[in-house]
Amino acid sequence: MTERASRFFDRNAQWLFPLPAVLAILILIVGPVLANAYISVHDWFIGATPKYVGLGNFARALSDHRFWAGLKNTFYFTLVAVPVELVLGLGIAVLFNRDFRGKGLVRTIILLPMVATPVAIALIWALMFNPSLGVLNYFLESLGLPRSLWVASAQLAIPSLTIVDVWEWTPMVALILLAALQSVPTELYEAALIDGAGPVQAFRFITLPSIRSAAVIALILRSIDALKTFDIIYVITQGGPGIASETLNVFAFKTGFEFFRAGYAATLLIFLLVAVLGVAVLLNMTRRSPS
Amino acid sequence: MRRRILGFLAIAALVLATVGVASAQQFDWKQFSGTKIRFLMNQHPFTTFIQPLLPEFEKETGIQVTFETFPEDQFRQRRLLEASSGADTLDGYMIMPGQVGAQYLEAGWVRYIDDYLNDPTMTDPNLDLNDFFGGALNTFKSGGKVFGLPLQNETSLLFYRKDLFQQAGIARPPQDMAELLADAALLKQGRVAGFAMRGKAANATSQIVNFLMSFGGTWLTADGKSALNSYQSKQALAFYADLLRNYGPPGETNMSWPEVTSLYAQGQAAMIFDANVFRSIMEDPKQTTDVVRNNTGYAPLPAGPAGMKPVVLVWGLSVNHASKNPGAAWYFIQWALSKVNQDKAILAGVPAARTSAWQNEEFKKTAPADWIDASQKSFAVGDPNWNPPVKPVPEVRDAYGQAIVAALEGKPVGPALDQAAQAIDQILANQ
Repeated sequence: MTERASRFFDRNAQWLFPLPAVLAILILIVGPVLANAYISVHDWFIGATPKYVGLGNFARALSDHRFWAGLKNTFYFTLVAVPVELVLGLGIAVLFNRDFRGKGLVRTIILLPMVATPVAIALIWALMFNPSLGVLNYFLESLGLPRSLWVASAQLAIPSLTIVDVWEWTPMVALILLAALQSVPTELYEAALIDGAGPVQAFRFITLPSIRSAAVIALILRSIDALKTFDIIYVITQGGPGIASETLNVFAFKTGFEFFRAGYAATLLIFLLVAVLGVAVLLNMTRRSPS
Repeated sequence: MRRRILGFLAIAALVLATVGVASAQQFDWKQFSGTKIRFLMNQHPFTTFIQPLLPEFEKETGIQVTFETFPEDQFRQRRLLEASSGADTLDGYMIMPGQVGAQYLEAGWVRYIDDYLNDPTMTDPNLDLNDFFGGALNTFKSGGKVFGLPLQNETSLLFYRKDLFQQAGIARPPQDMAELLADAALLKQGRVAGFAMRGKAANATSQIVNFLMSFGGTWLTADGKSALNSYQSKQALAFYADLLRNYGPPGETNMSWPEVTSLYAQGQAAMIFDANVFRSIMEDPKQTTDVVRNNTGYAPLPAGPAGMKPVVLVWGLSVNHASKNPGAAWYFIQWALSKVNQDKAILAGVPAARTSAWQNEEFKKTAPADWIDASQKSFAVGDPNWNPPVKPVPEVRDAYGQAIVAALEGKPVGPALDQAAQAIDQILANQ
């Protein structure tokens, strides 16, 4: 390398080193978002020439009952799934924070749902949910309980789908919380014990405050992911029965790739982006606020 | 004089030589040897059948074919993406013109093949277009030009359990809709449904359209508006909902063909109505119980108030407009749909698009006589427009699908269809 070039690199190292990362972000994130925004102001039936319509697609969304139903379903799904994941995840984390025989093995097994391919998971659950041939109804019946329609019922479709989400993602929450638990100094518990605190008080006043920040991170990550859930819903119900489990993401996908209305689909995704960003920012604020 | 004769002979020899050269420019299967081509395929009995034969094609032509096979929904999305992006690495695909023909033709995504058909070096002299069922071939013509060849005729049939019919004292499969309803009532036994068919929104429209037409309904009015709010259409949907709500299985609104066929294959339904190709499932010991496999009968669609009006679905193969190797792709299509391979296809349970295949004596021995008979009766009168003849087909099917789900959930049929018709009119206005 010539001296000039080497001097150039030395002088501009602060620009050159982050350059690949910046390019990756520009190409992979900023580019698609801008392209999406561009498409959203057009009426574009795939295969035909796009027509500029300004904010027409946005106005259409606001008066589209299916958009509102999709938005409602998106939040309904998240509000059911994420709290359950947090509570169960905390339970599992507390359990794994103690020592018992075979802990390593159990910990590996419990992580499996998270590692498996979502579409494969969804296909298996779809089989299990089948009201006539599925194994879930077989279990219900052998326990003397009535059979359920599961995802074939408009009322139960979303609650049933959240079971899959909980099954798949609780391990991740548990993992995050376990890491936080393990960083709580044991001296705190010893001191509390000396001061006469019981296990409940120790949990309430030591464990919970110590893992609060990690819990909020788990909450943010899971909420963002749950709001964007696509694979399990699309594979198991495709948004059905009717539109009973159609989230904004699924509706946008159908609009774009089944109905070929790329402009409207892009618009729906902007609404989803705003919703997800809004939730993330709100949750992040609770992380920073003093407890 | 002798010289003249010699001269004449020389000229004659030259002429003959030229003719000889011309005749050397005949159809040659090896013409594209060394080419690699790629086809997008639907996960379908035809694909399963032809895939193991690909090495034969490679041996015969030196062309290497790769299949990319996906389940139908993903297949269609993938094909749409690749066709619209103009990818030249895609050489051909399976296509059902009754489903996407209007869209693909208007966008120019399929390659017309008339130039090949008129070129003796490009078309196998044994191709014999007239051997294809007329209705099936017609769906691959637009403005008199050909854009592919049909690989199969598909129609829907009633699959029924002969043993359960006998136990219930029913002498014959239902001939009309009233008999279908009465038989379903007699056949429903505890958990075994009397009758099942698709109810999963847009997926169900390909089957319910048989009822719609047999009740005298249509997709569109003469002036191109939705006709789903007609009296006949409401009668058809009300009948369908009544049948399935009373004698159908639980969870109808989530049933597409995999659920319907597996329900029947496991002995949980006495009758189903779905595509005749699913005979291959019912004959597969891995997928059915013995009692189902040994007792399945086939009958055509029961007649409605307007008669028996089934639809036929025609799958075929087309050359991608952007293909770098359209000639090799066309060679593959000719080979895959040759008389020999269509004869094999029908033996493998694919309802071939060539009439000659249906006359094959070996096939007649292997296929149930009632299946052959019912299928041919259906092909004879079948309407290939199982979808509305418009571009936004999936959106229109989705709107109808919402009404189907509403009806199955017990909501009033009239308003549901009025709403669907209104939605469809809006979709058509915005296309």
